[in-house]
Amino acid sequence: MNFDSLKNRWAASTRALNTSRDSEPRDMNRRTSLERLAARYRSFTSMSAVMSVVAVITIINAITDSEFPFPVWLLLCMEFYFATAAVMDYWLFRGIKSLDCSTMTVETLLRKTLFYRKRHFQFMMVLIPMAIALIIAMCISFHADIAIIYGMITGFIIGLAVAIKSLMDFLRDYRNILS
Amino acid sequence: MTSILTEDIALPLPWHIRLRLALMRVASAITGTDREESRETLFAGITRDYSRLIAGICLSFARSREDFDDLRQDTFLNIWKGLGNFRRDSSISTWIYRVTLNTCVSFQRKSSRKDNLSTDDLYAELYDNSSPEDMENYRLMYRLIGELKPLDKSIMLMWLDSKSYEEIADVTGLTRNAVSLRLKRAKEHLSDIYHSKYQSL
Repeated sequence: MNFDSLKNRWAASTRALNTSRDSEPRDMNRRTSLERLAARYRSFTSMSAVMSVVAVITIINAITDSEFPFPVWLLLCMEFYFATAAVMDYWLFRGIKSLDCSTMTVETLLRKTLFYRKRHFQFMMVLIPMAIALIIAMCISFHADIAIIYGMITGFIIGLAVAIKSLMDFLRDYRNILS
Repeated sequence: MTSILTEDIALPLPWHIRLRLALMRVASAITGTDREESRETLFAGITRDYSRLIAGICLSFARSREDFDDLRQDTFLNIWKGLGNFRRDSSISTWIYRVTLNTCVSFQRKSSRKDNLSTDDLYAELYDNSSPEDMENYRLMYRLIGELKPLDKSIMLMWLDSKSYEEIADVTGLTRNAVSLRLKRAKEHLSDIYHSKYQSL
């Protein structure tokens, strides 16, 4: 293969590119893909933090009210789960936000992108078993009410399908980037 | 006869006008209005001079038309945002390479899309002045380069644009020797793919 001819072809192709669409006005307020990803982690952090606060309030209610339907140990498990998710999402949010396309080198940015993708996957591998354990604990706690059990099983199946789809997408992207 | 207007211009400005002008100068220095204007001028120059290069790099990384549009938009956004911090210790073209390649390698696709380049209409639009044979050759070239891994592709694209090993090392963060080694391997890899898949190129 002749690389000089490839070089010439690259130069010719760049010269021949029609970039008239570049003169169209741009939306400078839109977010880049990394900013969108960071915003997604931020919203997950907020949701997990709110759920964590709700769990704390519920625990206080459960301790003070002896008639409260939820057992305290189950609420403590939920609190632990949401607090862990909030910390993990916040860590990923800070990491993604620190990526700077205008100052970092390509190798550093690529390495960091891969690192956070890997961490995202690892965090999923921690949170999914925790969620399954939490669902099983809730099933045990509410075993008398069959409607709640059916609801949990349906939610579990849907959640599992979404998780498998995310995992497949992640592995495909990871393979593409990995060098 | 001297008009009132001429007299006004000829006379020194009253103290309160001079004070207001001085305050406006201080305000523009604090708010960075002047810097904003120079940033806009620089950005317009980049859009004019480097849009082909940016489009070519984005096309090498895109898997679909939507990818290409998103990549190009993201690149221009990152250039606009990064211009405020741009120091002229490196050349503008090296910096453009850095931002464009970084945007491409860190791009997060919105959804899982087809991996094959289903971009016939995009090539037709981008190469509307080229002959069908040239367009086909360019498409095959992009497909061939697209087979490389992101870091190798970044090195190869800069090499194709006749950038020196030092410049490639500066942008990629590798040593000069590592650039040379990776480029050699990337060429071998491209040769293998070319002989096995794209003999007609």
